[in-house]
Amino acid sequence: MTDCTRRTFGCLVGVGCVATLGARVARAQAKARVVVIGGGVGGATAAKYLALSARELEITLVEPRPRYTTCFFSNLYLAGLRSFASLTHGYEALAQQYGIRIIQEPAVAIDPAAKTVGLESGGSLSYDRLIVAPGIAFKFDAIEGYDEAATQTLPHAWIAGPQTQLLRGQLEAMEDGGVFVLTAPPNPFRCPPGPYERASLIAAYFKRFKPRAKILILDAKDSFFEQDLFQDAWERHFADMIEWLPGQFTGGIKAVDLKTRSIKTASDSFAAAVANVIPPQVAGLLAQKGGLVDASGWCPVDPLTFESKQQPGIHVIGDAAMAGDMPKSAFAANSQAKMCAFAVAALLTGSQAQSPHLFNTCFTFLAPDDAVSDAISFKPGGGTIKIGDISLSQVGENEQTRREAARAADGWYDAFTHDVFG
Amino acid sequence: MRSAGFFVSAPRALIALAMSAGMLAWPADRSGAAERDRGAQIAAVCASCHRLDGRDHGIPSIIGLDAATLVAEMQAFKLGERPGQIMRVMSLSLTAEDFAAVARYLAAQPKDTNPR
Repeated sequence: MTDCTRRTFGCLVGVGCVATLGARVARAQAKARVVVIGGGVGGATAAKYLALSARELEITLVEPRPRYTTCFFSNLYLAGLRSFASLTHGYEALAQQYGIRIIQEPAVAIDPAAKTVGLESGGSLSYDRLIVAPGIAFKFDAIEGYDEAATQTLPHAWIAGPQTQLLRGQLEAMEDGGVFVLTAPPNPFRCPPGPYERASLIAAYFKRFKPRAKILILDAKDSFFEQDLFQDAWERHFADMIEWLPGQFTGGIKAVDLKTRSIKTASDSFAAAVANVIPPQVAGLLAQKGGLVDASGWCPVDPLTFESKQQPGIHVIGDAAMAGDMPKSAFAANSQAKMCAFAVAALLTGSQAQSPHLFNTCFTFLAPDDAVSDAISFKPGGGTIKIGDISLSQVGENEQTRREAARAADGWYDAFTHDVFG
Repeated sequence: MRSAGFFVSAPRALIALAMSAGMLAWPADRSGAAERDRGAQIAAVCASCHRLDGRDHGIPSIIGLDAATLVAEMQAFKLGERPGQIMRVMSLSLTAEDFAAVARYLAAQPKDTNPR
């Protein structure tokens, strides 16, 4: 920045720069337009890094909510260890510091032929390149009785916001001795360790405030990410408070009964004092409406540019994308967004996108003072994205390592959200 | 042709002035600009965990250090001489040229000294 500013000043006082400036103004009138739909981690990061890497682009971010609540770290809020306000982030810096135009309303349609995005108000936005980061949607038809209205009784709390507050309120109101039932979805879904971290942190809350309470996890799967770490931690910290029932035992989650707050599996029915139903997931609604998903319900993309394999000129990043071995996580969305922004800037301005660097890092809490950190690098290859190097935490690490990871996690949240929204 | 202005932290007035001028003086040395772009794009990876405004809220700041120190640190992570799971995976994916480009880029970043 210092170099650039100095050079610009040099240019301003130099006679030879006048013609260059004139040419630049002419080009500025025909700025290439990039529209980004979705102000979550993927969309906000893409908009910011486009602005940073190419000032000659006109960047518009379409997001109906005035503030974004992070799903990551919301399990700490559920356990009473973080404030809700600390999870919410606005778009002021993106608008004011980076010159991004924010349209605060829903995008309702994409016309790939006309290269326009339809807005709820009836207006439309033209684009040269479109980046879509719609996150996830829920398959409400997968569990009988669990529809949009049912989420007000049995919250999913898997898109953070009022749902998260609703679940926290129910947990606080629950009597000691109650059973908290959490249903974990089939793969693939947002944040693979998330449901199990949620059980861990809510157990920590119960241990302190409702020590006779129980947690029952009804899983659609027979195994889960870092299962050995979680089960070791549950035994060490929470004795027999948490019980996990795999899909082969339950036969799958089949239905809910709102009146009795019961979850029905193929073989049984479980009454809950509080139930958190995390449903099966697909790409966000706009990806479905825009013809970006395939039969899997997710969006196939080019592994280098994240351009849709279904719709040229449209890029899909974040949880909605089918990005090979990359998990659906905020960190992965942030990493993909940067690579996508560099690729789109290169396409529109002739700048050079460097070799891609794709990563996922995950801080996971097994208990408030017992966290693990994992890292994976990814490489595009063979039409997909594959795992490069990997480092996963192990059972039996010493307490100090785990305490340090818990402290580092807080620092990471600060830096990461600053990278996305700051 | 593009700005090297990643992680802007210069005074707002300077930024506004630079932006109004288009900000983009054509670099005298094209290979230098390419290296800054490479450094900036790798630094973007660092920014997912390290604040690049010099603040340290739990993850150490990596700007304002000299380039040789940064390269030596990354090399130590890569060789496993310095512990750190995340940094080991990050450093393994980078070449010696990547280290040099990102270290020079980070070493040139000014710290934001405004209290926030």
